[in-house]
Amino acid sequence: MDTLIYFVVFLGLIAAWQIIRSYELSEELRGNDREEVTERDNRLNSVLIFVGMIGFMGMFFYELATYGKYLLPEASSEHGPQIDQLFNVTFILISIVFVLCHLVLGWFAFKYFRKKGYQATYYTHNNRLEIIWTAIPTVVLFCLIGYGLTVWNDVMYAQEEQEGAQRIEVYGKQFQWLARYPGNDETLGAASYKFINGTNAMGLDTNDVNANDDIITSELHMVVDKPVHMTFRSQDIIHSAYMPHFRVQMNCVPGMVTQFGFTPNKTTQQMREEMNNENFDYVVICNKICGAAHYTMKMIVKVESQEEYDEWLGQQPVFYADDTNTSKDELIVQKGTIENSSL
Amino acid sequence: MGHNEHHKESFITKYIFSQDHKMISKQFLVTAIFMAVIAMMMSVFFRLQLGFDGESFPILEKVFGKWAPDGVLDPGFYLALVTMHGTILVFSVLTGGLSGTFANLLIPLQCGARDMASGFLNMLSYWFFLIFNIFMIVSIFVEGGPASAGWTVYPPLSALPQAIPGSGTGMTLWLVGMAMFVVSALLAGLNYIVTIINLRTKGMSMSRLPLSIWALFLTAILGVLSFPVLLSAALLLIMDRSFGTSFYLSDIHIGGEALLHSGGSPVLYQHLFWFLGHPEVYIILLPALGIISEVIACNARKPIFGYKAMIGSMVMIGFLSFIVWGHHMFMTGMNPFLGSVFVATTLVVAVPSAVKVFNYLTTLWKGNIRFSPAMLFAIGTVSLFITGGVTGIILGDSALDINIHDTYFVVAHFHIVMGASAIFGMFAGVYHWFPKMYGRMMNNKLGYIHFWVTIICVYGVFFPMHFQGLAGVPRRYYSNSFFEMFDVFTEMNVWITVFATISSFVQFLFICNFFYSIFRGKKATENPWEANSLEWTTPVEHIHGNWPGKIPEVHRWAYDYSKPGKENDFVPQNVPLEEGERDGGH
Repeated sequence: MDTLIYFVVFLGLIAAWQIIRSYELSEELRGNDREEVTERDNRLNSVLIFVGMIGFMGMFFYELATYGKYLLPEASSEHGPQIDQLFNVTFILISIVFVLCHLVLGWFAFKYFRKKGYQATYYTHNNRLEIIWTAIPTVVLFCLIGYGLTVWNDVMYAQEEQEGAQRIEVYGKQFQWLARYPGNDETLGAASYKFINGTNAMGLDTNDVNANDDIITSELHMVVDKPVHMTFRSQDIIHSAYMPHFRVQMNCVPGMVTQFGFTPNKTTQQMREEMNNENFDYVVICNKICGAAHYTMKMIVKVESQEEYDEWLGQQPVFYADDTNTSKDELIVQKGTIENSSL
Repeated sequence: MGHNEHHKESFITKYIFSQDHKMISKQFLVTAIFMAVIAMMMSVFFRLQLGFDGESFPILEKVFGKWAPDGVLDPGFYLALVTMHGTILVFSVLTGGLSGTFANLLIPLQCGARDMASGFLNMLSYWFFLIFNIFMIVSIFVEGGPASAGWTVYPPLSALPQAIPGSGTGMTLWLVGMAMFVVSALLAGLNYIVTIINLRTKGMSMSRLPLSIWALFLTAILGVLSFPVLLSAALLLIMDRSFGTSFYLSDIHIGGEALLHSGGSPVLYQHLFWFLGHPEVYIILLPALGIISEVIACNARKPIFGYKAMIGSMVMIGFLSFIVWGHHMFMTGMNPFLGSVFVATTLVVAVPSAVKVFNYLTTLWKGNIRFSPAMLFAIGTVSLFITGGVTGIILGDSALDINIHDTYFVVAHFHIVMGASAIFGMFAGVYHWFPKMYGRMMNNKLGYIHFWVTIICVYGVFFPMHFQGLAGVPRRYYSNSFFEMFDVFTEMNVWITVFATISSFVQFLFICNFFYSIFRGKKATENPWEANSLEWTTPVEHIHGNWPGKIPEVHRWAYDYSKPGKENDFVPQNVPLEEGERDGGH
């Protein structure tokens, strides 16, 4: 069977060779020079470029109309609309440049194809023109830089101003996300990769009092309109916690703690109604290649009212509750139910 | 020993261990075409998975065996294909292939030199390049498969075989191969720089050099300054992988055990990698822009508009390319203030780029355009450069990067602006200089079909990806099925795969045309495109030393097309100025 396939491929190649050869010979007989760029070629290609450019611009607007509705819904965080507006401004600007340049390119190619007896204009430079089209992009870009950096600083330094923000740690490992809540003391306990074992998935330091009431979950819950100060860690490989609906992303780097502060402002329920989709859920997506099952790494995110949040958090097991008489070992075993799964 | 002596050569010294720049150029080109076919087929195979998620294709099992059980790609091997596709295209094809081919062919011929400054180093640069390619091919067949950590091979993923099978032997071969590539790039780059500075013929001042040489000159400088940093990044990674050091590794618990590595930082690797990685983008792009400058001026029968502004913008782009690398790392948790600096430097790159585009457009204005296949590909390059360039303004803005970092928007952006655009520049160069390389002409009609199908497919593949990226689809995903929100793109992914497959088949048309024309194409004349630069004054038959007699003296710039008061619409550079005539570039 295989031999047959190779044989067919081989025959196909010979056939292709012969077809080109006979085509060339017939062209030669007809007196056409196939290597010469003929007048017909010039006219045909210039028309094709013009039509192609129009078609391309048409495709651009068509895709904008068709796929535009697939884009992310309105941002569900306080800083999100700022980013979206910056995007819209930039997008409109570059669309104008994109369309104009292409129309000019298409028009010139169409208008100035080679004609007999026509001589091109000897035009080497024009300093005024060049200064103008250096200066205009420079000014526009400096405005964009200023605007972009304003938004960037607002977003990235937000956490420093947020008092009373909810602290949450997002933890990535092959191929699963975990979240850690600080518990009543509002302080996340110390943790180290050295303490990780089957019953201590995030390597919390059992000698640190602050770690005792920490709560580890496999879903991420946040309170609507309450600022979140999120820190990120990784157990093994670089992951990237990407929450597109909130316009939030930060890498989780082993050996480093990274952070992002933001305020979710739409509950999951609100989004479900808005999108007319009962099954909608916010997600954390892994957005940095982290291994074979990279594409499966996701965590469900719920944004809800304070009451719902408290109720949910109350049901989650505490890492090590020292106000009960349960032995430490038992509780750690209980924590082991958050499985240390890997694919 | 005079270079111009014509001495008899054996088959081996002429075709294999050749020190003649024209032969080395062909060696680079053919190697690059071979590697490009491999990388292109890889993309078709992984596109099959993306377009038809989980469906069985018996051909995949036939080709990949255990890596595609039942005709469905293994998720780990999918990443291996993506990684090798990127590595081969970026390094073998668009760096080694593009610069290697055209720098070798054009620098001595357009500067008016008998050969490169050192023919021996030049030969070595090809052989190190070949070793790199052999390493890449061999790595596909080793236990665990080839490198699978993405073409940027970020540690810890690339450092730990426990993390992904490709980080075993395959990764070792990748890194050692890359060291070979750096050696090749440095030997070549130094040679190019020295040749351009020292071996220009009489009258060929720097301000009379064709823009292609300027582009290759700046490319070589970028390469010599940045490739050593890649070498150090690779060496440190080799140390971490094989000798237990901790440059990039710290605080890792994997495969059920805590590793001993402590104190390193994976972000350090990213800084070192992108210190090469960003200039690398321009190492790829500048030669393509240089080539199309020649092709556009010659086929529009007009001087290139704003010659000095073109040089200035290339110098500016080259300089800026060294201080923008951080824009690949906005989301690594680096200080937001540092991010701000990189935003500013990155967006400024748009200024010289815009100047170049406007100058190309003005060059076409009131031209007398001959649409040879080379010219079509050059116009295609300009179009792709515009389309891909403008989206860079979005990606370079850190605040916007938060949401589109590492999504398909990035994939669309770089495939258009440095992938397709540079490949189109390379095609333009091949069609344009084929008569000089092989003494024969390529078939134009096949060239037209090649161009039109390719450009439609390129936009068909990459344009819709912008929308996927804006909807948050991450790159390097084996399947989008785990996220309901991406289901809307199922049909789009089928179309992208269809376009990618068609475009890859059309490339075989080019390859047939290429090899057929080498042997059976019509014999070329000395100056088939009626161009001005010096390479078209050499005889069709290649001779060692390039010119049979004395090297021609240069009297004017390379762009005297359609100069008023001249008999022809072109005046070669070796034609003396008439009395009272001013050299156009000044």
